[in-house]
Amino acid sequence: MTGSDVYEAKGHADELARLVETLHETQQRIRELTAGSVDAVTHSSGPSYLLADAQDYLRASEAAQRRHAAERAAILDAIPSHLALLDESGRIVAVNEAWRRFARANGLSGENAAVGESYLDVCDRVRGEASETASEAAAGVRAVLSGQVPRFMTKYPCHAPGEPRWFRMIVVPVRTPDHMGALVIHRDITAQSIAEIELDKVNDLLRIAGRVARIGGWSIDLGAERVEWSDEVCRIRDVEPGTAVTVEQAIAFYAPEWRGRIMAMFDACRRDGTPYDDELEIISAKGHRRWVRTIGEAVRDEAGRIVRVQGAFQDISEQKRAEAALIVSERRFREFADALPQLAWTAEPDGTVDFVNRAFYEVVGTIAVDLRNGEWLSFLHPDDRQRVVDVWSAAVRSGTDYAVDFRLRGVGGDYRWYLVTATPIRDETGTIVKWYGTALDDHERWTVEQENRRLAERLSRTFESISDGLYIVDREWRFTFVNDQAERLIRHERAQLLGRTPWEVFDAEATRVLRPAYERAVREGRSVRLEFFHPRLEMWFDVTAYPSEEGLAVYFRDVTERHSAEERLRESEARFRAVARATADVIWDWDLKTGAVWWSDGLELLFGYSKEDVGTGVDTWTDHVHPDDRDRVMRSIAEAIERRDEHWQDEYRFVHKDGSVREIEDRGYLILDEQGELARAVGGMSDITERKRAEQRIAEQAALLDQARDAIVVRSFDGGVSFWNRGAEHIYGWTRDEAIGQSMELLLYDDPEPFRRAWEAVMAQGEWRGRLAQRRKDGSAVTVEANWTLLHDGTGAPRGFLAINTDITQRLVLEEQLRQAQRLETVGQLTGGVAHDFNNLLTVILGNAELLVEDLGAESPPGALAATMRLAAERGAELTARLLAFARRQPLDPKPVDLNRMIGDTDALLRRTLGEQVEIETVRGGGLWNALVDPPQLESALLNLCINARDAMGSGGKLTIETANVRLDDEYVALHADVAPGQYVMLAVSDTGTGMTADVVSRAFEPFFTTKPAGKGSGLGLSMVYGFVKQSGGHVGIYSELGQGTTIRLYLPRAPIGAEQSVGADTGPAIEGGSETILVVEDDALVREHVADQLRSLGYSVLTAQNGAEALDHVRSDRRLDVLFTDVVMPGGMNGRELADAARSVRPRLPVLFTSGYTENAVVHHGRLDPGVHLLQKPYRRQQLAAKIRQVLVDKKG
Amino acid sequence: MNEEATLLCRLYIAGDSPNSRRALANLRELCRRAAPNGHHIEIVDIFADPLRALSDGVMLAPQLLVISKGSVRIVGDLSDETVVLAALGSEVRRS
Repeated sequence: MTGSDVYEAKGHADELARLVETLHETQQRIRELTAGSVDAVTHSSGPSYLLADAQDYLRASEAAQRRHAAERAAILDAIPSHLALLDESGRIVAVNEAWRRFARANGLSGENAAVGESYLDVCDRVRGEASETASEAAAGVRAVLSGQVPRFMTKYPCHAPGEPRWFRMIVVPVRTPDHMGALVIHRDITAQSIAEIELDKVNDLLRIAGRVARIGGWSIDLGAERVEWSDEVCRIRDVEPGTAVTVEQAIAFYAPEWRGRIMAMFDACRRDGTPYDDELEIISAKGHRRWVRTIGEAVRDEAGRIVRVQGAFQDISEQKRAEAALIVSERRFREFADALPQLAWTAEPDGTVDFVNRAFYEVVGTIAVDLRNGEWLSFLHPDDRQRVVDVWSAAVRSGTDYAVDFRLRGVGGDYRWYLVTATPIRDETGTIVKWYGTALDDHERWTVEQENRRLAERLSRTFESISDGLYIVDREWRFTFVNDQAERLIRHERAQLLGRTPWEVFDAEATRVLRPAYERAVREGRSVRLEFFHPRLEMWFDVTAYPSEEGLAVYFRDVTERHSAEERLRESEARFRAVARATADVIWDWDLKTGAVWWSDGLELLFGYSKEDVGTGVDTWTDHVHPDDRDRVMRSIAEAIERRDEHWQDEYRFVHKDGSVREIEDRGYLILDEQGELARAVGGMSDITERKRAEQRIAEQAALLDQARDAIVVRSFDGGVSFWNRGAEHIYGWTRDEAIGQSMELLLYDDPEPFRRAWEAVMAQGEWRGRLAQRRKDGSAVTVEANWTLLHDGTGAPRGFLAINTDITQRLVLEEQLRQAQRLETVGQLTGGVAHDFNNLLTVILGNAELLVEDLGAESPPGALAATMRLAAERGAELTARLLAFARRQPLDPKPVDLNRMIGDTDALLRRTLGEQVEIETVRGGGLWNALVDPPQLESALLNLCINARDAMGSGGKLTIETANVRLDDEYVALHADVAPGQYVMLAVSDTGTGMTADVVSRAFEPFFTTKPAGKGSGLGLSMVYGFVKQSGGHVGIYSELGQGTTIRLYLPRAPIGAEQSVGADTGPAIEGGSETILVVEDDALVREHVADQLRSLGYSVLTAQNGAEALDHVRSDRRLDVLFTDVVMPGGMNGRELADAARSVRPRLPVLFTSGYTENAVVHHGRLDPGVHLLQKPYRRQQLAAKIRQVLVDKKG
Repeated sequence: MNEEATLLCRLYIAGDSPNSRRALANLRELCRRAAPNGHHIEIVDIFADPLRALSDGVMLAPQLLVISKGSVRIVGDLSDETVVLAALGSEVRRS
């Protein structure tokens, strides 16, 4: 029977319902009775019933546990390591996904590595290559499970086909109340491991190298704090290879006195990575004390953290012992060396002296010698130092014995000579380990030798330098010495002579004469002297032979000259006298032995003295030498005689018998007799007075030429420039010395073509004038007005040309400036005239337009038209105002103006006008003077300049406004047309714009000249500025460089000191009328009626006149008259000014207001209004008219 | 150590159900206090060993039998400290 059958059985349903009810009630009742503290009840027949509350709780609890289990599994599955949980017997209880994947990938079937399998069995079943690893793993697992080790770790290869793979296996125990067992973790460490393998290989190599060098290695992984020692380290410490200790244990090996030090070094290395390398002592496990060298360094991971400290370790006890032995042996050597009386020293293989013995210190008298710095050198004689250093360096380099002598400075500062030798000491391999040296006091021997050498040299030099020939032959007649002069006279080189006899060298003639003489000298033991003539050489020789112990010394010299001179003299004596008589000069012959002087007849011819006058004594000649020259001449003669000069020459003044002074050139020849004694002086006096004068004249002329400012140059056809005066030096910059001999063409011309044409013209026509462009030494250009003339020599052939070049460079510039100023002046007059007439028209148009606007109302269409008309007329008025400004025909009201203040006041306006793209900088001069200018015009000029600057800087730039006090000196004025020297206040406006070409600059001030696009500029801006400044008595400078920018400088006249400064421009007053009577004088009917209408509309009574005469009628009448308003320029014989004068003679207090399209001298003097004169500039607006009339009326009352 | 010195308890529980869990925790705590020198707690799950419960006449779980005191019985989660300590031994009662 099934449950559903039971349920469906008829009649059972009710009973079941009742039983359930009973069950429920029972549970409720039990709960009540036990206060809910019972979970289950048990029936006596056995079964227990869990009560409802407990069931609910358990259901919820199981669900939570299932959930937690699922979460744990998910987490475990996400771990990349392969995890397997083993129970106490090693059976796999659970694995994570990574484990399963690995198992699948490695072809392990489910039962091999899956839950339920014994892991130990799996390991034990492994065969082949991996069996060793597997059994090691199994052993590890067993050890962990049995509690023998807290954990087990191993690394093993598990290579996949074609790919190396490394795993780390970790086994940790798991002990929880409900599970005892272990967790097995396998992790793929392939990436890490390959690096480690490489490292292992390197470490292996190091280990091998270390073994060879007996250097050990150690390392400490800072995590593990275990020190790993190489076998060598273990050996040094006398412990078993493979021993591993803690850091503390390792440190404990060091001898107690070293522990603190090694600990400190190790800590610093571990903490900061400071490496160390030190020599310390350890006490080995067997109690041996050993010197070790220990090196430590930190190893960092990729993040820079110190993860390991490792190092090297070496037993250096032997080395230390050897060092100690060396120290002992060195000490012994030094004691020995110090006991030596002579100097001894040692040096290191590189030549550094490291020891000198006591004797050295005793010699130099100090022990303060820093040997290693080579200070011992300072005791050497300065002349010896370099040589010693060179020899010593060479010896050290080549490793050969060393020997040198030098002077050493002793205590007292005296130097003594020492002979120094040194020998290298080599070790068994042949390497130099030391140099040992000694120094012998060599002074005595050296000084003697030195003295001998010096004497020998001096003797040799003496022999060489004597002008006589000298040779020495020994007793076998062989040449042993031949001096230079002897070489020359014998005509054989020394090498050919030495060792041979004179009889082998001399020819038969010489031998015939000389041999008997020499033999006689030797035989008789006395000197022999002879003169002989050598026929072949045609020479006379004076020979002296001195016998000596060595043999024979022979002095000889060439006396041919003397012999021939004497002979010639004797022969020509008579001839000479005859000639002397014939010559124009005075010939004299002075016998120095007797003092007698012979004079030729010239003495009388030239100087008027007869032979009787002068006698035969030399003093008669000296008497007539000009007293101022006498001493000098006598001295020069005495000196010539003293020196045995062959001739003498002097210039002096000689007094003619008639008392006149003549310029003399005197030349004399000194003649020796056969004994070589001075015998005679023969000479001649020439009168050079004329020549002197000519020279003087030439010098004076040259000085004159030098005075000329022009360049005066002579160009010879053979040899370039032959004359170059100071003017040429000045103009061209080349000095006379630089220019003489140079080619004029190369020196002065960039383009030689004009020069060649000029040259051809000179050759053809004999002279040439023209203008030439030339070049100065500094490369700058110079223009000259040239005036060239052909020069001829004595035969009339052309030999060159004379060039007189005038520098006109500056003049040309000035001329150009003047031309420009004149052109502007002309244009100005023209525009001024046009503007005047135009202003009359504009006055009417402007006035009527204003009235129309008022009558029609600006809002009505006709009124708007009228307003447009007024605007146009106003623009026209602005243009004419500029034209007048340029033409310097505007009335100016100059006042002292502080430019700095004005710049400050206009700053805001400028910034607004120029826009943000232009940066404005102002440089305000300190202590700036006031300028005397018309303030509104100046502001207008500044604005114009700034606008020009802005337009030149299309894409923005920097504008600089600068003020300064300036003194224009004569030099500046000389270079600029139309400027007066004096004090000015400068206002400069500079931009960083496009700049202008020279051509544009030259036309910049012309009216209607503009570089701006059509419709952009009136071409009047700079013209206005120019006219205004010129009219104000100032000067405008323009400087521009294409692509760099432009600077325009206004030089404004300085206001007289004490002049009041102008106050700011006053604001325009409101239109104010009146009832006074005004006389309007105007020749233009149109204008006259217009003005009258306007004044009437302002409430005034108006009288009109069309010329001066008519006006005066009104003035003379007794009608009321408050203001005379007159045009300045009027036809009919009387201008405004004259009318005003005439009117004031009748009514002295009658105020006058002038009006004009432009002004003339009638009211404006030098461009400025006379004080007290009122002027209304045409065209004017109604408001201006009203204001001016009121001002005149108020001034009259005040 | 003789028999009298050791406190012997047997706690019947109904699996992991809530009163049973509390009863076990309370009993451990109170035994530690009442008999710090020695006690033994036997835990019997009525679902695991219903015959044992029947032999001890245990019809309700949790239920404590203090064997050493002549089988004193306490039913419930043993949260009434005074009652349980009294059952475990009057000598450790504190007023």
